[in-house]
Amino acid sequence: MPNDPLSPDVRRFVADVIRSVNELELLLLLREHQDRAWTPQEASARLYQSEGWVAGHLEALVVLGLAAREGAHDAPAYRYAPGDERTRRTIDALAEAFARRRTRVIALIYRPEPSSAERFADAFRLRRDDEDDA
Amino acid sequence: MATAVYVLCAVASTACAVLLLRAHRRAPASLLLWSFGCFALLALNNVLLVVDLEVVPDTDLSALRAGSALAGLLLLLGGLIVDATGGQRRR
Amino acid sequence: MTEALQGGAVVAAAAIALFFWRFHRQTGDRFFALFATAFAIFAVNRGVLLALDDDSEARTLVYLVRAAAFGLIIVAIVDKNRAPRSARDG
Repeated sequence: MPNDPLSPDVRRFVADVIRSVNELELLLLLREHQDRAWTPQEASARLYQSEGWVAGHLEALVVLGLAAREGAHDAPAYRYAPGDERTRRTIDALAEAFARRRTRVIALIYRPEPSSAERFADAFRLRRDDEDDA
Repeated sequence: MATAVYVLCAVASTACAVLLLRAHRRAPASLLLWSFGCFALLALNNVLLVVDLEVVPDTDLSALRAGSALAGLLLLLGGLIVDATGGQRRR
Repeated sequence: MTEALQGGAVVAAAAIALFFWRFHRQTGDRFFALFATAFAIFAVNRGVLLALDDDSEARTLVYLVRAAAFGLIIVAIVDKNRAPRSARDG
């Protein structure tokens, strides 16, 4: 569906979990190669990110329940492992949106968090127009 | 006439409650949930008022009415206070 | 007992009005000014009820004032849905 807006699940996932495009790319790298585990070195070479950054964020993905740590303690590797089916589907939808509507997803990631006052006022908008620009 | 006004008030509160619940479902936020509770109770308060005036004029529902109004207002006030004192911690 | 509950409601409604007024100052959104006014009216309305002493929520003045408060909330919602979107959400 070409005009399919980003689903509420995707929006929520981005708001709660994804703070930068780099983080999204790391998650999508794991998703794309679900059959293998990535060491920080490998992932950092692939994403052109520092190894330290990648290592930290791979750990964060484990904490978020999106990846599993494998391998020895001093040589960890990480595999895509979202806990539940719904999260898996949400990330699939996000991956597709990122492939097809990249600017829109990027805008969503960097959108300033509305204050609670703004969210309260926005609750009274009857028309469910698509929240974000793009 | 008074009844019409209270029915209108009940409708308005219910509308607010529904909109707030809808917004909370879409993007959960404690303030939205607290406010939903507030308007739901204010709606109840207005319904009780109509019932008290029209349906059972002989029964005194004033304590129930005052209680529902206060409970509703306190929910919203609580939500606002929690929000102002650091409820803003998404991410 | 009922009086205590009503007294509490007066204070709570007034405090809520102040919070909404603060939101109005923060966001510049007149939606919150209308809500603040509505809750201020609730507070006054309930205060008057209390002062009148007997259970007189059917009294003309009282219910008209209450109608005005809910009317403001309705106006705020209608206004929110007519106004162009604010700068932030573009």
